[in-house]
Amino acid sequence: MTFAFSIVSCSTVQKKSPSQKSAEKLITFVETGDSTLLEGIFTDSVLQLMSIEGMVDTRNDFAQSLGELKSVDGPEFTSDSTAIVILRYEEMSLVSSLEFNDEGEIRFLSIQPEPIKSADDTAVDTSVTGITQFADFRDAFNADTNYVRLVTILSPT
Amino acid sequence: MQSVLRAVPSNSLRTYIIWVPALTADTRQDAVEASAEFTDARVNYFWDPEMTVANPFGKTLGLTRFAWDVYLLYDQGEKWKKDSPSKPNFWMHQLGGADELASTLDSVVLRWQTETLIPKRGL
Repeated sequence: MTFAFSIVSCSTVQKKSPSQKSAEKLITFVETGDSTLLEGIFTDSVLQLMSIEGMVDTRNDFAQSLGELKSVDGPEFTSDSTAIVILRYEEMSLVSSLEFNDEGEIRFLSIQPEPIKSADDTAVDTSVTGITQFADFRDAFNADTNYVRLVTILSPT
Repeated sequence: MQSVLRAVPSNSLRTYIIWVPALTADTRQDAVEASAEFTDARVNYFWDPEMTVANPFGKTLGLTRFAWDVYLLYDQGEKWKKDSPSKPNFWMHQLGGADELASTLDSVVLRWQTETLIPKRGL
């Protein structure tokens, strides 16, 4: 009876996708420092930008400068090929964005401090400012001189 | 664009979307509706019906017409004094015939380039 139940249970367990496995290996590496988990989860293009040794150093730097890793949220898949992981350290939370190729390898990885919620975040202003002279845009651009700025010019349709 | 913003959640980034009537049927109402699809407080939206900004950008980038379908990155501290923009630190496009000027848009590359400019505070 027990045997039969076990078989039913196994057959109903949802298989993890290769992307999910890669994400979970990466998280376990962050938690434990076991760099063998990183083997085979990154594309070559990622490894050209940062070696496994570099990732180990980065992981150790986080632990040293941000304190104990309290918890990990995610991976939360935002699409079939993208996921977000939040690493909650004692001193700061980091948001890691992952992008996967068709084989489930990580082809893009970024780590940024989690944005601090402000009043602006709860009331997003999507009003559109009309431009009648160049200064209309120049003044807005110059007002944000303390920020990195990404300017795009697009058709709305 | 949305994927870049999701991947780079830093508060050190500001984004400007300048909507232009690149297609003759484009209207300000289209721009308003397109802007509403974004939910990121770091984005500012503009409507440039006369190509008042798009034309000087085209000249700065070496294009033969107004700038359109372009993605331009500027570092902190960049400030414009004249009625034309300065050259960006990095840019990409989705235009035909501009490959000698810059690379075609690749969202992964654009993210990496954006992140190289973002200060790594506290890390």
